[in-house]
Formats: sequence, C-alpha cells, structure tokens
Amino acid sequence: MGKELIIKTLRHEKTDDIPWVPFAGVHAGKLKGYTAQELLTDEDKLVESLLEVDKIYTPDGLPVLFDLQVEAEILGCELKWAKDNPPSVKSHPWEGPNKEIPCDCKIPTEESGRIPMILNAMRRVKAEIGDKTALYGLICGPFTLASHLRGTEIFMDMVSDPEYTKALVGYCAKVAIEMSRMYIDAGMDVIAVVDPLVSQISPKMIKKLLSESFTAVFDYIRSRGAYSSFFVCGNATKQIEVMCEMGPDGISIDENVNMPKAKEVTDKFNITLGGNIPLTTTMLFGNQQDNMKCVVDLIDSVREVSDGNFIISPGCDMPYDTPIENTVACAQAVKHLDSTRELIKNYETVVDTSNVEIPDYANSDKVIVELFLLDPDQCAACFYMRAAVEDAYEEIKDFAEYRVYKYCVKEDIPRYVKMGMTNLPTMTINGEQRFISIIPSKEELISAIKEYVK
Amino acid sequence: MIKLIMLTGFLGSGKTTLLQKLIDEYAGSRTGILINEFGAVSVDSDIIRRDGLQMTELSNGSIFCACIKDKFVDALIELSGKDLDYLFIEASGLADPANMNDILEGIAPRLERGFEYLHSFCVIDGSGFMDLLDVLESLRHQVSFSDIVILNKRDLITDEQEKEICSAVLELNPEANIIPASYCDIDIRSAMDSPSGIRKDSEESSNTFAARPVTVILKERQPVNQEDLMDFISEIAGSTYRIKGFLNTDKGMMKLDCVGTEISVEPWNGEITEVKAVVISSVGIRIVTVVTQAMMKYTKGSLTL
Repeated sequence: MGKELIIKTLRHEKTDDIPWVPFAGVHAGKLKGYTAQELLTDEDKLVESLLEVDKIYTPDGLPVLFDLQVEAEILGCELKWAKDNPPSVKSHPWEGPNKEIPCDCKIPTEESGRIPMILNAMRRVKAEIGDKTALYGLICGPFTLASHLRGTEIFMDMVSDPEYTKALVGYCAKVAIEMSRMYIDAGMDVIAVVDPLVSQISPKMIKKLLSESFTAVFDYIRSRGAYSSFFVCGNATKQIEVMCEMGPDGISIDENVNMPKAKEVTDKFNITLGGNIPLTTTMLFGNQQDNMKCVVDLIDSVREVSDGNFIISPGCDMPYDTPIENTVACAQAVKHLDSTRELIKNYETVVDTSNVEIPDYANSDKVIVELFLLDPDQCAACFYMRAAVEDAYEEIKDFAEYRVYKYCVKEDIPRYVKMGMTNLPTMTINGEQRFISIIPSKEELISAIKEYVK
Repeated sequence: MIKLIMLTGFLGSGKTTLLQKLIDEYAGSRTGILINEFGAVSVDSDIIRRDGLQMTELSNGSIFCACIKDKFVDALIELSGKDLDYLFIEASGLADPANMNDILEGIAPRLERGFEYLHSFCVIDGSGFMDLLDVLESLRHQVSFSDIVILNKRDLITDEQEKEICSAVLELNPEANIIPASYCDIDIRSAMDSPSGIRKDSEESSNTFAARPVTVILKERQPVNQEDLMDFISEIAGSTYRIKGFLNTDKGMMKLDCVGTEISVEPWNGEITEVKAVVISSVGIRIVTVVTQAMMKYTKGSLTL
C-alpha cells in the first residue's frame, strides 16, 4: 500500500518500490474546475479535488493543502489572491524600525483564520483515503514565516541584529510547532516544513540563527510519532548538509539541485531525499515523453548512488495548469519503470533559442539588471529577489533599469537556455550572473550596480 | 479605598508561600486575589484556592506587558466594584512592575472605589539572587519598585552572602525594608503595618514581547512511572528557570515545583483543575529539543507536549 511505502521510506527501511508524491497543490483545483482561491478557502471543493488527485494520479502520499501563507494571514499579513496560484503576501506587519516579536496570543489555534476549514478537510480526506495514502500536512517554515512578517528587512537583520532575528525565527518555530500539533491531531502522517528561503542563507548563518528553531520543530513532530520532511526551493546544494544536521526524516528539493549529488549527502545522514521533476520546463510545458524520460533518468541517476531512501515528486508545488496527462505520465514512469524506459529510449528534448535577442550591454546608456525567476508569485525566493530590486529602484533609476523574466512563461524559456541559467532565481547585471539564489541587501545591490556605471 | 498589595519575585522565590500566609493572616477580612502566571496554565490558583476568596486569574504573560495589560486593567476595574478590604496581586515571576503607578493613575477615573497602593513585597531567593541579577532586568525592577524585600531561603546562604545581597538590594533601592526569612516565615502584621514606601515614579516596564521566555506545557497520555519522571525532570531542569504543575504517576498525583536544578516533586492530595505542568525555558526554543529527547529517553510515550 502507498501509505506503508511512504512510511517505510521515511523510516529508512528497504522497499521494493519507489514512492510517488505529486505535489498537487492548487493544481488539484484544476482537476475539478476550481480556481486556486476556491480550492484554498472552500472545504468541500478542497476535499472533492483531493479525492480526484488520489484517483487520477494514484499517489503514495498526498499533500492536503499547499499554501505557505496560511500562518502569515492569521498573523496579520494581507494576502493577494490569484486564480491559478497560491496567494502571496503583500504586507509585512512587523517591518519597520521597531523590532518587535508578535505576542504568543497571536499563535494560531483551531479557531484561527482558515484553520477550521483545513482541519475539517484533513479529517474528511483521512476518513476517505487515509488508510491507503499517506497524508502530508504542509506548514510554513520558521524562516520563511519570519520573512513574511518582517519583509526584506529580515536579510539585513541577520547581519545587524542577529539576536532579534533569532528571537523572531524562534517565535515562528513556536507557530510551526502549534500548526504541526493541530495537523497531526487531524490525522496527518507526515508534516512537511516548507521553507523555500533557507536556500538563500549561507550554511554558517543557518547554523548560527536558524538551526535550533528548525530542530525544535522536527523533534516535536518526531515526539508525536509523525514523520517530518523539510522542503526547500532554489539552489540548496550548499545547504543540504546543514539541513540534514537539523534532523528531519526527509528532505525535498527542486530542480536547482543535482539529485545524485544531494543523495550522496543525505545518505551520509541516513535521511530520505525527495524530488525533483522540473516544474515548468517538464511538467508544465513538456509533453508526456519529456515527463517519462525525466522520471526514468532521475531514478536511474539516483540509483547509481544508492537504492532506497528516495521519493519521486515534483520539485515543488505543481503549476496550476500542468497538463493532467503529464502528471499521469510521471505516475506511469514511477510505477512501471522498465516498460517506460523502453518506450522513451530514443527520445531527446530540444529548446529552440534562435529567436532570442540578447541586449547590447556594452552600448546601453543604463546598466541593465535582469531577473531570471521561476514564478515570483509562487516562489518566495523569487518574490524577495524581485522585491530587493523594487525596493532599491528609486535610488538606481537614473543609471539603471531592470527586466523580469519568468520561467513560467513559455516564451521566456529559450532566453534562460541562451543565457546559460542553471540556477534560479538568478540576478544578472549587464549580462553577468551576480546573485545566484542569494538575495542581496539594498546596500549590496546598489553597490554592485554602481560597479557597472560608465 | 481598597488596600492593594503587590507580590513580586522571580520564579520559585516563594511568592505563593507568602501569598498563602497573607491570605491566612487576613482570613477575617474581605480579600480579593489576582494571580498572574507566565504559562498558559494557572497552577498557583489550585494551591491557594480557599472558600470565600474573590479570585481572578490572568495567565499567559506578564500583567505589565502589552500582551495582557488590557486584561489586567479590566480586572482591576472590575475588582474595584467588589466589596473588598484588600486586594493581593501575585505577579508572574518575570513581571516587571516598573509601570504599576502609571497603570493605577491611568485607570483612576474609571474605578468605582480607588486603590491605596499600600505595599509591594518582593521575594528574593537568597541562593540564586546574585547570579540572576545581572541577567534579568525585570528582577532589578522588582527590587527597585518594592518597599519590602523578603530575603527568602536565608537558611541556604552564609552571613557573608546575606551581606552581599543586602548591599546589592540597597544599591538598587536605598529605602527598602529588607526582612531575612526562610519559607517566608515573617511577622506579616508588622510588615503590613509598616509605613508604605513605594516609589511614586514609573519607568518603562522591561516586559516586552521580545523579552518573553519560551514556555512549553507537559501533558500526560497515561500515568508516568515515578522514577522515570524524576530522571526526566533531572535531565531537563538545567535548561529551565522553572517547572511547575501537577502530573499523575504510578505513585499518585505529584506536585512539581522546581526552580532551576532545585527539584521538588511531592505527593498532592488537593483538588486540581488540570493535569499539566508548565516548563519555562532558560535556553529559548531549544527547550523543545531538550524535552522531547528526554521524553524519548525516560518517559516512553507517557508524556507529550
């Protein structure tokens, strides 16, 4: 049974099959014709959609709700809703010069915000499919939640006021523990601590300011008899080791990280690795053969390192419009590996870059800053990288301009290929890759741009 | 006027013992009690509950912190309408009362009967006071904004240490009336009848959101083995300021009352509201790791967070 397969894998036991966990977040709504907002706010629509995901994609594990803004909303952040994406945070109630920690009385309870709806949905889905499918309760990781509360200032705080940063992240860990408690009580087998922004912080800083808080959350989950998985987005290659040291049962990564190399690290700690079917190029814009080939190649490459301790899943929350047939193709490849390998053995993927025009940086009057993002409405690191440029814009606009490209826009993809982008988000200045998966502070950014002013 | 008596003192110094003595001494008067506890669970109220007492509980923070100050103010206004001679307020161990005069002044027009702020007792634990003084701003303010300082646990310190503590107290508060005692055994009437000497000015309370230590609540799935519980408590005590509450063991209900590594677990026969214990961390959020790992080692599924 799927659930048993997931649990065995997260217990690091030997299994005959590889488990499959499609992160059908907002995409679940597409299956039943509901918008992202309807799905994330309406219990009946959510339950109906999740049961459809279970039926069509035959998952071994299933996330119930993929929305990292649930906690932020309860703590007072305003949200901007979208039809085909989870909401994004548009105000940060704790930004500004007064560095404060929210009151414990604001920590979410069973009655706060959307929690009653989520808990009811969890209980219903548990009753329907909980015997055979492992259910994932997703919570916002403490650092990403701290950034929702404090905005881009959190990156400066880490340098100028580490004690405050540590206290704020500690507070957010208390929120994460309370969310875990409620979700475990509602029947979740696995708690996924989703913290996309961890990939933006140096391992040294993580150890100093974040590790204690994350470890507390993972230890709490374990003490309740549930399993934990640490989801990160972006190029977390350097961070995987320190993430393992925090003690989750599993780690899940996206396409920015080389899977076999990551597996070598997680194996050292006997931690389960999950990932990393590319969301956009493969799942959203590829065809069925692309998806099958991707899954087969992924499994083969990881198996060259070692067997077991491995879960196949998309890199992160699947795009809303992911063609259903592509996800079905992934499921097919995981469940029938050998026959799928045979099917795609002569297939190659090609991207046409002949129509891409690269700007004439040398002769441009202004310095050109280009942002190569995933989907800034969905990827927190991309959102904060764009926000960093927007925050600095008033001070640079006389000598610099900026352009934003999105990997979720099909027409932009050839540019990524031609510019040689391997990690997202990346910020280039006059064509040079200056900030790869790192969000600069305002001062750093302005100073970097000034180096290019003629 | 209702005579208002404030009791402050760090976690475990002996405030509740003093409050019990005050209640017993004034058993014939109309007495109101306001208890403020730092954790989400009120433990002291079970210990001091008596027939005929007007009790109000404010948990989950310090009454001087913005997080529950509004509830404190509402409670004072409500109590001013009761037929009381005395109101005893037991502040949480981390309370900083530096802004109490401001609070009383601010609510004066809304009170049915005024309060006479007669005394503020600060109970200090002689054995740990000097170490904590440098760390906790709230402790300095507790001493400085009281008129009677009870140097408790006198039996645990030397004459030299007593001298050192007294001069540290007098440096903070030259007017303080220092009464050395063990188990808060003092002449209550004579202390209460002494002239009031509380500072009339106010300062900003250091009880801000950021200064709040992390607390976790221990709950029980099934009665825990008494020896395992002792091992568990010994393991975590060094990472706490305080452990306080009630847990059921194979030897019956126990009252936990620990101050740092000073552990006290004793049988309890009184009534209790909830089987729970509050752990106040001295190591921030890391307490979760310390407690969960000790649970796995010793209490094997009996306790949970």
